[in-house]
Amino acid sequence: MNGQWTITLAPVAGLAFAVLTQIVVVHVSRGKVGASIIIGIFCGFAMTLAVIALGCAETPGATDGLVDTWLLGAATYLALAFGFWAFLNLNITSMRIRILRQLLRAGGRMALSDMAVSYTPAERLRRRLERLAKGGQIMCKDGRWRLGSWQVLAVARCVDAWRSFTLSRSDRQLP
Amino acid sequence: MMRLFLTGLLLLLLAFFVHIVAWRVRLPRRSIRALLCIFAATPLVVVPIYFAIAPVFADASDAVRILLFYVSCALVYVVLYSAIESKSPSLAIVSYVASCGSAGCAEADFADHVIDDEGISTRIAAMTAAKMIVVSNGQCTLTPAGRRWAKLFEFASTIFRLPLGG
Repeated sequence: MNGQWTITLAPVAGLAFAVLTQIVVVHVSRGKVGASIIIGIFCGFAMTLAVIALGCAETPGATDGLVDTWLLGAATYLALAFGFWAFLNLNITSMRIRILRQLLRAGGRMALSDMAVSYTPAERLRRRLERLAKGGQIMCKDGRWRLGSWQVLAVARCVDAWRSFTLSRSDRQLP
Repeated sequence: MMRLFLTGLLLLLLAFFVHIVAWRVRLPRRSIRALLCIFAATPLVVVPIYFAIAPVFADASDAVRILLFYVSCALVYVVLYSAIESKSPSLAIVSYVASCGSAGCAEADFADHVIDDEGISTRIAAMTAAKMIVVSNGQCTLTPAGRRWAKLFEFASTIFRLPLGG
């Protein structure tokens, strides 16, 4: 494999390394999912850069410019890493996946009445508040909920802005 | 030289442009599918035209690099779009808490301001339509396809040690 192909496949190698690192860290740290994802993504990024450097060394002088070699590889890796994070996040937050997993654990069949108990609006709200508080995004003091950090709020503002840009005024009112 | 990066970026911008114009004209009923079609169709239309005018790539690795960049960025946008299309309850909670300022808000206030209209029945209906489950006599049963997906997610949760979410 020549240097060009090594550089081309660097983001994929980085993603594979990120996945493996996350698995190792989450098992060694006994379930620290958030930290393991961050460590995995950073290690994958380092691997991507290392493989790109290896590709450059394999064919000195034959590689493209700085942007095409390094920025394209880094941007591709970050996009793939985001996909990995979204997959893990979906497993944690999606109610449909929860229903599928609960059904499987119950032997593939469950009474609808039993399912409804686990998914009342109050129960769903409680789970979300618990998750947001655990992540430090909001905090509860003396029975009052307050903002814990601005990062998720910034994401919410960006989503609102992009929704305004993408959708017409009438479509924004739709659920 | 940054021709590969610019080519990938140009393809993405073109797909974005088509998406924005299409959405402004009429919001598609199955928006994620429409979005995937736009992102898939854009290079299929542009690349033959581009090659007819000026075949630039030195070798196949250049094309694969652009393709990897384009596909991964397109999928990132499709994932983000689902949050744009229907507001996430978690983001709604954070926005509402922020709007309350330093006084904060009580848990009871969330019921009036945080919308999560996709209740359990909506999700059951969607999963039934997708042939993941069947509902009869008050019982919800996994279909063979649903069981395969459930096993995949259960396997992923074991490997990545993910908690039961929802």
